[in-house]
Amino acid sequence: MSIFDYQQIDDVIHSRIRLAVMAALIATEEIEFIALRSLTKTTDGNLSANLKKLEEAGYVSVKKEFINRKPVSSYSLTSEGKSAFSAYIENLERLIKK
Amino acid sequence: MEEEKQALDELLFIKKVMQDSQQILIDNGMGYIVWGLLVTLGMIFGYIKYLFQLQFDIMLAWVVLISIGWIYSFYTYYKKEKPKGESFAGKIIKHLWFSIGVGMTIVGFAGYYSGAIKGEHISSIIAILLGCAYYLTSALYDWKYLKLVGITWWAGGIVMFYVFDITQFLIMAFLMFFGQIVPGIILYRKYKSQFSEAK
Repeated sequence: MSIFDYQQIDDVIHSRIRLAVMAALIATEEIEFIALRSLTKTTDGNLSANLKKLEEAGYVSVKKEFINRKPVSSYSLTSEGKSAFSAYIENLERLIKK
Repeated sequence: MEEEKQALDELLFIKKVMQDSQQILIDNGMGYIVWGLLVTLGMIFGYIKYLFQLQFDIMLAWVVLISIGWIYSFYTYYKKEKPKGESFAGKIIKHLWFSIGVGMTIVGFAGYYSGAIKGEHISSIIAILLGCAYYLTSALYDWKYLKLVGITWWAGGIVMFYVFDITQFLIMAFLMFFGQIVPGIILYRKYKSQFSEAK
């Protein structure tokens, strides 16, 4: 019998790009869209769509401002996002220790 | 078994992304270039003064040059676009260079004017401090080239402890160019390519 409960997988995080975003945000306090795009090696559209999903889940917060007259979006993890990511990691570790 | 493999793969992926995000360059290198140019200029002034026995207060030139440097640093800190991603390593690097800058300024002015440090020893001490800063920065950025720069500064500092004639100005100018301006240019290019437009 598998101790791995598939229902515990957080579908919001369980995607390569969203997982990369969460991992990047856990390591930095705040990160700009352009840096996230560089880290996740994806396109603007793809990243935007995935960030929107994380925002809707309440895992990520966005700050929009103008710097040198250019719009800049910066992202950070919410406390809910940090808890969700921790739980996700714990699930993975539980699976490996099985 | 497949699930375990997938889980392990995901954990390794997470670790890689976290490591990559720690390497985000917070500095575009301009500060290194500006400070390098200012100090190199000061060294050239010093060399020319002593070579031609000119009568001007070299310390006044240093006050002007270092003031320009600090005004530039504070201006860019408060006005310039902020780092694109502030990693914890990046925070440490920022504070490291600020503290080293303050330390060097104190050594150069308070040390000299108090008489505690002779003028000919200041460059050596500053070289040693810069060696420490570059060595630590190399560890935080995981960038071996900066480790070499740090070691070069230490070696230059040791040499200057034994060189008291005007050659010391040239040694320091040489170190500033290859140990500050060149790394600044490399950092600038690395910073720009890091955030190049996606295709």
